[in-house]
Amino acid sequence: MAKKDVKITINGKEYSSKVEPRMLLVHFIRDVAGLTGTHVGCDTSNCGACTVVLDGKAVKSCTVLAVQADNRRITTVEGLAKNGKLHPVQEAFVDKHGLQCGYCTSGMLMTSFWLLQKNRNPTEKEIREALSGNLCRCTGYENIVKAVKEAAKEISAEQNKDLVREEPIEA
Amino acid sequence: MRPTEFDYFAPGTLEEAIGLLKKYNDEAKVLAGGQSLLPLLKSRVTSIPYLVDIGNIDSLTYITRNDRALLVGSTTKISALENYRNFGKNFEILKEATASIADPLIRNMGTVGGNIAHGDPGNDLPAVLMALDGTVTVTGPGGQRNVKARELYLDSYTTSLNGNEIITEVQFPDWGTRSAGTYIKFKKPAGDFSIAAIAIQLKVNKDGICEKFGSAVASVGPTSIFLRKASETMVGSKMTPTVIEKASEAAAGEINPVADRNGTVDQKRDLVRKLFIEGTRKSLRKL
Repeated sequence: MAKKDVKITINGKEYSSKVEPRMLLVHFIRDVAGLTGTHVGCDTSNCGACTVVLDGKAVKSCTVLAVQADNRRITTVEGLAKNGKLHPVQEAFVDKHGLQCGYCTSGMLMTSFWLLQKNRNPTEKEIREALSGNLCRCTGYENIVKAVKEAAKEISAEQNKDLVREEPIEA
Repeated sequence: MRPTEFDYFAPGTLEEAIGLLKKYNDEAKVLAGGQSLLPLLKSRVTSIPYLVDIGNIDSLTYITRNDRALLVGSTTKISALENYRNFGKNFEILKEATASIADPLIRNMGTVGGNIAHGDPGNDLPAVLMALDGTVTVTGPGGQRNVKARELYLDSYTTSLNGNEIITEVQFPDWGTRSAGTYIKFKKPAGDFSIAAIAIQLKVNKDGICEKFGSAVASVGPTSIFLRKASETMVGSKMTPTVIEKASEAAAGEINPVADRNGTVDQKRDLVRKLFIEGTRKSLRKL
């Protein structure tokens, strides 16, 4: 079986390798790129622990072939923090205790990150629907939903900050 | 879990893809989004020596509308169809059905054509396409042909397509004014297949007489099933509770469920009967 040259940009960095066509994207991310923040949970496309953002859309990387992602761009959980500062979604998961064991967390973060990119102000229903492909066996989801709400607020505040101009007070 | 070994091709054009399918014939299969096929390959329920990925053929990704139908290129992602802004009232059935498929992450990768071509009786779009009396355009070495959804499925995972044909377009007919429909999926946990699901579209004339009626079900037979008798019972009548009741009995009779952990045969017939009534009433309320 012929191996294929694959080039995938992960978190802005290009990774090239000759891989078997049957290699799953999650294994490319973990074993070729060495980014082990993306987890394999159920390996049957149920749990969402392996969620990454592929060309702007959250997908389950255990159910995508690495060759299908050739020449595409991916963001993994390692790509969320910028300049040593956690992403608002990550901050909110910490603040609201949106995790216990942490196994599902990278997937939860990636789906939440994707949701907040397309919907700045999601309702609770929209948050729960967006996360319906991500399973957590610890938290009961309550704190995860709270964290996503908190992150949405944080992101809006961050963006509105630029819009607020302090007017000089006239004497 | 890894699939058994296979060779992989990612043609950039439809012609190349069909050429590859013709060359490898029975040993080749089309890969669209892979959300149904990859789990089967990973669990080694099946193995396929040659995969032809049509995901790079840009000309197969589009949603357009004319006065007769909504036309969807086969590699259009399910999430793209779900988020289509121009559905209008006539296509609420499609909006409800797409939003009910698996989960948002799978809908971001899975394709409209794949959901229809795969032939799993639990897939949702086949029932919608059957209810609407839609068609698929199929392209193969000999050119194009259209196949009615109601004649597409022979058995589980088996369509009337030849091995070297590809579904290139899906046509969801527009039923025009005074039409409405719904998709109701009865399921257990989030993301799971349905225990039973029903697609209903109806059209009435000015006097409230049913002019057209299409209904189909998923998960209660070897394939999705067009409810021919139930649909025919509705046409030409005022949609009174008595008529709906009679048609729902016909619906329960023309499905082919098997007993499993989700219920007995009788329970599933009863479920479809109730879904038929609920779906018809819900559609009528939308008019």
